Amino acid sequence: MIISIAIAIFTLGILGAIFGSILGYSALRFKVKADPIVEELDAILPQTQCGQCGYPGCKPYAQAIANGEDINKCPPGGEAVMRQLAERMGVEPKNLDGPEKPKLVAFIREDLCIGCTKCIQACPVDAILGATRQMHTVISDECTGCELCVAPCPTDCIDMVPIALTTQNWQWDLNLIPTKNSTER
Amino acid sequence: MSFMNSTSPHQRVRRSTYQIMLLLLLCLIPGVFLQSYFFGFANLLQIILAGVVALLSEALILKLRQRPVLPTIKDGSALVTGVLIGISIPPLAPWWIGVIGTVFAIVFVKQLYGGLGQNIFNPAMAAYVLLLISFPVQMTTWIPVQSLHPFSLTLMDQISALLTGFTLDGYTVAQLSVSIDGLTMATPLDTARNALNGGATISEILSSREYDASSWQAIRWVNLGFLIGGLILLYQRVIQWHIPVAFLTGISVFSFIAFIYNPDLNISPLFHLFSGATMLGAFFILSDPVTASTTVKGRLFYALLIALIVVIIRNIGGYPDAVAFAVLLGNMCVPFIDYYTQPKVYGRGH
Amino acid sequence: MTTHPINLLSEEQLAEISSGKHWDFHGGIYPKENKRQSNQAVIKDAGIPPFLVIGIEHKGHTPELLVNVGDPVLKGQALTKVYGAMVAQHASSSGVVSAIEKRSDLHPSGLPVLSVVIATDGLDRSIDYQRCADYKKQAHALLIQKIQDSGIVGLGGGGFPSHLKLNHPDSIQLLIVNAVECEPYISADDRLMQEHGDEIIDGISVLEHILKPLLTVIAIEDNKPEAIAAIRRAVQKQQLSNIVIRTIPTRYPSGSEKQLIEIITGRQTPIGKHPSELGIVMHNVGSVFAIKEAILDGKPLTSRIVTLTGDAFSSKGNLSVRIGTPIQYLLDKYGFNNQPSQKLIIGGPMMGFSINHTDIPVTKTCNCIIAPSPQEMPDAPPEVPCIRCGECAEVCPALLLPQQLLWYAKSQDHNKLAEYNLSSCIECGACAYVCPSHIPLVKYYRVAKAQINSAEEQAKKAEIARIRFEQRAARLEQAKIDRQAKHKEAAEKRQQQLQATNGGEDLIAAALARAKAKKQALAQDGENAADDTKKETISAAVARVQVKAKKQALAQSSESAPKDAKKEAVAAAIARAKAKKQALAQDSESPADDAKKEAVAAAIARAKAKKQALAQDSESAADNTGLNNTEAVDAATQIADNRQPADDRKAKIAAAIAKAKAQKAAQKDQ
Repeated sequence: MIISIAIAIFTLGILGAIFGSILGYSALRFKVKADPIVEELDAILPQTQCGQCGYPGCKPYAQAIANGEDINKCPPGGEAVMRQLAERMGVEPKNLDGPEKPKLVAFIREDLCIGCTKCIQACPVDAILGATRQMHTVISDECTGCELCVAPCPTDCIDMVPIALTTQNWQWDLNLIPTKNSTER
Repeated sequence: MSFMNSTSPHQRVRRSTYQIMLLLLLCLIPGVFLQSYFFGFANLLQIILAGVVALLSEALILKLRQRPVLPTIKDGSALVTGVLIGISIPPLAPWWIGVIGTVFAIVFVKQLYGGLGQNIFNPAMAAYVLLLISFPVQMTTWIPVQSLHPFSLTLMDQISALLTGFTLDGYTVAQLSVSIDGLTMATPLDTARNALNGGATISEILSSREYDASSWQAIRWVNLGFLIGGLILLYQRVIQWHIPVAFLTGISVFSFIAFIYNPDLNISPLFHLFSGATMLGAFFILSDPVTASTTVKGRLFYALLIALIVVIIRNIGGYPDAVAFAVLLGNMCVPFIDYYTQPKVYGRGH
Repeated sequence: MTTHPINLLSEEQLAEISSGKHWDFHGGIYPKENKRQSNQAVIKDAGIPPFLVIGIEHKGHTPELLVNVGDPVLKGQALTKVYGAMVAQHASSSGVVSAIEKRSDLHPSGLPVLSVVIATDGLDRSIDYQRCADYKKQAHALLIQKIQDSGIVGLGGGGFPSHLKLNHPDSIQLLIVNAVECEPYISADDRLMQEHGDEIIDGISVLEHILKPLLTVIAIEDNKPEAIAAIRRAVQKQQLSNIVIRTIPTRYPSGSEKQLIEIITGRQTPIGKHPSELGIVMHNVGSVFAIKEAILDGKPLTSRIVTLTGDAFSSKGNLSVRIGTPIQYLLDKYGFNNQPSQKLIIGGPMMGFSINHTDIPVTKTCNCIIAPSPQEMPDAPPEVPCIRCGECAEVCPALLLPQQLLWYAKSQDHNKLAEYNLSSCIECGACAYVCPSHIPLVKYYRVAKAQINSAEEQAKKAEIARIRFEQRAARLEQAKIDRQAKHKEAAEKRQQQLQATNGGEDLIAAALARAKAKKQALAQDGENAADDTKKETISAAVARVQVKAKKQALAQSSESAPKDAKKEAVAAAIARAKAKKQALAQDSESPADDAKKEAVAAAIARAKAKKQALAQDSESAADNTGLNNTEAVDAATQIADNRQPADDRKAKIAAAIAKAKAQKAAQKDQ
C-alpha cells in the first residue's frame, strides 16, 4: 500500500520535473524580445508637451508609464487616450485626475502684446511667430493647447479659445441643434 | 418658425419587432391546435402557464436590472420563448417543470446575457436541455393519443394532474402514460431508439406493438401542422428561406446517406422529417434571428451543421430527440461561422 | 491618374452594354415612389426673392471675392475668383451687394459660412452672355475652364465640381448620364427631361466632344415613361450615333454612382478608386443641362430645379429657383401650411436632412424640399435592441454588414470599423429603412465616420507636434553648446588681452567691486523707502554722477569748459523738477494712478532732458559754426521731434506694463 503511494508520488514527481524543465528551457530559448513599449506609448499620447502629467513632455511620461506610472494623468488626451494606455499596459482603466476640457488653442490679443518673446520661449512646439519688439501671433494649426504660454506673458494678453466648429469637424450630433429631436421621448 | 429634427431615412417599413413576434405566435397555432386535438388540453395549459411565467420573470429581472419594464415586455420575445417551452415539454409534466424551465430561459439565458438581441444560446432550447438533464423522468413521461387512453381525461383532470401530479380520480401521470395495450407511451423516436439498442431492426420496429402505441400518426400530424405554420411564416417574409430549407435539406440528405448505408439500422428520411421537433425546429427555433448566424452564407452552414448533428445524435447518440442539443452546439459555432462567411464588400476583389 | 488597362471595359463588354444587357446590384429596397404629386405640372419660375444669400465658403476654404459691400451686381456676374479646384459663384439676379457675412449654410449642422447677401432690385438684368455655337473648334482645356468658371457642380445632390471629372479625357470609354432619380418624391430631373430634352442632348454632345467616349448611355428608371419618350425623340432628332437609352427597373438606390455603374456595366469600382479608372464618367442630367447652357449660351449656373412636395404644401410641383433664394420665400410662395410638429426635409426621404429654421438659402445641391404631414412621415418609434434579423445586410447595396458596423460604432472600435469597411458605406439609408427595431443606423455610421476622421486628424497633428518638439529641443541644445563654446573662446581671448596690456590685472573686475560696495552703502542709507527727501538726494546724486560722466566725455572730445557749469545747473534743475513731481504724486489717492503717473512723469522727464541735451549740443554746434541761436533751437527741436517717436514708444511700453500691473492689482483687490 505504502509502496504504491510512494511509486505514485515518485512517478508524478519525475514527470513534473521533466515537463517543468522542458517549459523552463522553452521560456528561455524562445523568449520574445520585448517591443519598444515606450515608443508605442508615446505614439498614443497626444503630444501637447504641456507637462500637466508632471513630466517634462510626453516622452518622459511614456517612459514613466512603462515603469509603472499611473495612466490617468493626461487631461489633453482625455478618456480615449487613457483607455488606450490601459489596454496597452494591461491595467484597469482609471478615472482621469482632472476634468476633461475641450480642445483649446491659444490666441494673442495683439493690442496688448509688447513683444517680450517670453511666450515664444515657453512654447514647446514653436507655435508662436514673432521676434523681440515685433508683434507675436499664435499659429493655430500648430498650437496643441498646452497653455504653457499663458503664465509667462507680462501683459496677460493670451487667451485660450475653443477650436471653431465648422462643417468639416462637426460630429453629426443632432442633439446640439437647439430644437426638440423628434426621435427623443 | 422652428421645425423638428429628424434623422434620415425619414420613412421606414412599418413592421416592428412586436409585429414579428405576433406573427410568429399566430403561425404556431396550426401545430399547437393539432397537438391539443390529439393529446388533450394540457398542452395549452402548459403553454399558457409558461407564457405567463415568462412575462412575469422578465418583468422581475428587468426591474432588478433597472431597465424600463413595459416597453421591453411589449416586444413579445419573452412570450414567444415561453410558448415554445410550453410546446416542447410533455403535456402532463408537473407545473414546476414549466416554471423552472421558463425562469431559467428568461432570466439566465436571455436577460443575464444582456437582454434582447444579446443572448448567445436559444433560451427555449437551453431550458429544454436543462429540464431534460435534470428531470429525465418527468420529461420523458408522455401520454398517448386520446383515442388510446385507458382513462378519460377531462380538463379538470388535466389541470389537477399538472398541479398535483394526480388526476381527480387519483391516477398518477405515470399511470396515465400507459396506453390501452398496457404499453408505456414514448415518442416514436424514443421507441425506435430503445428498440434499436435492444437489437431490433427497423422493419421489426415499425411493425411492433410498441411503435403502434407510440402515436406516431399523431406526431406526424403535429409536425405537419408546424410545417404549415412555417410556410405561412415564410410567405409573410417574417423569416428567410435559407435556414428552414437548409435544415430540412440537410436532414433529408444526411439521413438518406445513413439510410442507404444500412436501411435496417437507420430510420428513413421521412421518419426523421416528420417526428420529434424537426418541423418546429426548422421554422421556429433555428430561425430565431438572435442566435442564428447573421450572414446569408453563414445561415446555410449553420442550418446544415445543426442538421448533421441532429442526424448523428438521433442515429448514433443516446438521446432520442436531438434538436435541442444540436441547436445549442450550433449556437456556439455562430461567431466562428460569421467571421468566415462575410460577403465580399463592394469594390473588393475583381 | 493612370488607368490600368485591366480595369477598362473591353470591346465585348461595350458591345454587350449597347445591345441592351444590364446587370444588377445587391440589395436595394422598393419604397413608395410618391412622385405623381409633383411631376404632373410644368416647371414654374420661382420668382425673384427680396434678397439672395450666396455662400462662397466651401469646406473651410474661402476664395477671393470680386465684389465689395455696396457694389451693384448683374445676374450672371462672377462673385468669386476661381480658386484651386473650387468653382466660381455667381449672382443669380441683379441688385446690390448688401452684406458679406456669415449666414447659415444648407447643411444638417446649420453652421454659418461666409456668404454674399444681395438685395435684389427685381429687374433681373443680366450680363452680356457670350453665345458660342461652334464650341467644337475650341481647345478642350478652354471648355473645361469655362465649365469651372460657370460654377457647375454635380446637381444630383453631390455637389462635386463637374470640371474635375473631365480632366482626363484620354482614357474614357463610357459616358453615363444619370437620369435615374431613384429617391422617392423627387421629380426635378423627370420634368427637366420632359421639357428640355433637346437641350440635354446638346449638353451630351458637348461632353462627348470633350471626352470622346466610345459609348454614351442615358440611364432612366422605368417609372418615368414620359421622360423616356422625350429623350428618345430628342436623340432621334439629333441623330447621334453611339448613344443608348437604357431603361432600368425602379429600385432604390440605383441612382447612386457606384450602383448605377454596376447596373450598366456589371463592374464594381475598386475600393478607393475613382470610376474614371474604369474608364467611366458619370454626370447628372441636370449638370449636363447646365453644361449646355454654360458652353452654348454662355450662361453661368444661377438657378436650378427644385421639387417642392409633401402634404403640408397646398400646391406641389417643380420650381426653377435662383441660387441663394431663402427657403422661407419658397414656403410662402407655395402655400405652406405649418402643422404641429412639422418637419422640413431638404433632399429626399431616404437621404435628406431636416432643417430647423427657414433662414437658409437654396444652394446648388438642394434638389427637393419636402414638408410632410405627420401621417406621411411619422416620427420614428423608439429604438429597440437589434434582434440580429439580418434584413439590413440583405438590402445593403455595398454588401456591408450593418449589424456588425452598428455594434462597433456603438463601442467606438475604430479598428474593427475599418476592417468591416465603414468607409464604403454610401449612407443610402436602406438598412435603417428595413430595420424592425427602428434603429437609426445611418446616424450611428455618420457619427462614427466623423469620430474616425477627427481621430485621424488628431493623430496627424500629434505627430507633427512631436516632431516640432524634438526639433526645438535639438535647436536649444545646439544653441547651448554654441553659447558655451563662444564663452570659452571669449574668456580665452580676454585672458590673452589682459596678459598683453595690464600684466594680468583685471581692471573691470576691480571697478565692478567698487560699484558693488557703493551700492551696498547706498542701500543702507536708503533703508527707509518712504522717505522722499532721501529719494531726492539720491536722485540728485545720480543726476550729478551722470552729469559728471557727460562732462568727462565732453572734456575728452571738446574744449568748451564754460558749458560745464551750465550743464551742471540744467541737470540739477531736472532733478529738482523730478522731486517736485514726485511730491505732488504722493498726495494723490489710488496707487494705480500713482504708478501710472510715475511712469508717465519719468517718461516726460527723460524726454525733456534729452531735448535739453540736444539743445545744448546744437547750441554748442551753433556757437562753433556761428549760426543764429533761434535757428539752432529750431533745428534742435526738429531733431528732438524726430527722436520723439522712439521715446514715445518707450513711454507707451512702460505705460502698457504699468496698465497691466494696475489691472492685476485691481483684480487682486477685487
